[in-house]
Amino acid sequence: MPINDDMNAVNLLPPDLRGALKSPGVAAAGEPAGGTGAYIVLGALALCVVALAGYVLSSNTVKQHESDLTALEARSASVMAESARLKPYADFQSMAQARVATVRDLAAQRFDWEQSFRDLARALPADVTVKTLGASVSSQSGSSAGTGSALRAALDVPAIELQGCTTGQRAVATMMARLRGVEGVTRVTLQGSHKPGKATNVVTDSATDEAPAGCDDSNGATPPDFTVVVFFENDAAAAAAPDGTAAAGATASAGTTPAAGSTASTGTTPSTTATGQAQTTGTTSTSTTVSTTTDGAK
Amino acid sequence: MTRQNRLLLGVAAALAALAAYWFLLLAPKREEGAALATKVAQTQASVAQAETTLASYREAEGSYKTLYATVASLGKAVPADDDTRSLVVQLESAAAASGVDFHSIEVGTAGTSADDATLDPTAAKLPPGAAAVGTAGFSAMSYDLEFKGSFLELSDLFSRLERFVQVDDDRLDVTGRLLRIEGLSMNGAEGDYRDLTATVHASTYLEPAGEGLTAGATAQAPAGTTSSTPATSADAGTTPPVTTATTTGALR
Repeated sequence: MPINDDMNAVNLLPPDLRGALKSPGVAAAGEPAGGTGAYIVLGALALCVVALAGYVLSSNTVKQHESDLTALEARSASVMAESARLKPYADFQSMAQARVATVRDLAAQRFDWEQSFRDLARALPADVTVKTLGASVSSQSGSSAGTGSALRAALDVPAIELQGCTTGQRAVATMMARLRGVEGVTRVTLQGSHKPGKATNVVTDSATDEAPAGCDDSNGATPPDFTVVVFFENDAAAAAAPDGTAAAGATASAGTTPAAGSTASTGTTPSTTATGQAQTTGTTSTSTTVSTTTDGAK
Repeated sequence: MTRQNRLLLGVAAALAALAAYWFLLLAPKREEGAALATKVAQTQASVAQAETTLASYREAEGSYKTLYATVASLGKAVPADDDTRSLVVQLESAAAASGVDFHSIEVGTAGTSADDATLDPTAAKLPPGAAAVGTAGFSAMSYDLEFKGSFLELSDLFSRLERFVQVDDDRLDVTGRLLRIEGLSMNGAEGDYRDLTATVHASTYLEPAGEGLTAGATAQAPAGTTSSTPATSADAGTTPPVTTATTTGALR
């Protein structure tokens, strides 16, 4: 029987049997959305796995750091305890090293007086007589019987003051040139050179009030009395160290240092030292206390 | 709800879940991990520094006996007290060796003014006649010494006085008191230049006041240590030798 255009085809099969009769190609073309959903689910699961892995890794890292920190803190505590136990040893080492260094510095910065005196003795001409010799490592320190000239205080370096006499003024100049050649000497300064009787710096004996027997004047010449200061400026370290020592010497020598420019009395003032010093008479600023001895070290 | 809307809703939910995971779970954990890593690095650095310090302390412990011997020997050069009797013996010996007459000794009066003692609280601890010196903690004590002899003999004596403590490169030889000649003068006796009188102003040095010769240390351990190994009866409580004029030694 022919089917008219007004009639529709009706599938009379039950619904659960309808799919079995379709070919696979017809079924896939009819339900495309079901496959995408499965991929989405799989992707979501993979993402969850990755997220979980990231979280676990981060947690493990944190736990590892916590473990490391605990171990380090324990190590630190152990080291600190050991350090506290051994610290007195380090303190003692520091103290010992400081003491050794200080002693070494003090010893190394001393001035070699023996060598300087030996060199001076060799350099002094034979016609020079030294009456007194004073030496000090700095301008503030000094010997208790030093001459304490104003020139000596000009430079805070080791210096040796010489007072004596020689045959003439030319000999004084020769002596200064010889002294300048001594090793370590950087400056030789003349405080004064006066011939007794003509100059103002007359040396008299405190006991006899007479001029001491100085250099040989048997030929009628008047040998000049000189005062020179020999400076060792390259050894300034000896004068600089240590603190407080220089001041100690200053007190000791204060009593024998006359004021510059003072007008001393006549030679009747008794000496204040055991070595029998004389008082100078004069009106110049170069008056100093000198010894009455006639022969000094040559 | 259309298929497209369902898809959009699913994507939004997934993004929200991802953001929540990131901001609520992973990011705090990562921050905590970073903070811990920083703290670990800092602790490692401090531990390394402490271990370096500890190594130097162990080195100090290892060299303690040598240092103790050094300090004890140094007491000959710089005693804890003025120890003038020892100094007199040394001076007399040196003078005799140089053929010089040791005429007199007088303790200097410098550095003991009342003002100094008032200003410096440590000055009260110093022996009479001593004054604080420099920053090393030592104190100086000055003496005025008088010798009689010839020029060469006196020069030899000056050399001997400063040879009690000698510096040779890094070697420090100590055979007596550390003396520093601050100044001197020589005056000749009338008529005889061989008979000179030398007045020497010299300084000696003392250990820091309050520290003593070894700062409380014993031959076994320094002061303040709690030694785990008790000292044996043979050397327990050993004290350093008292400064004498006859002992000799060398320090490095």
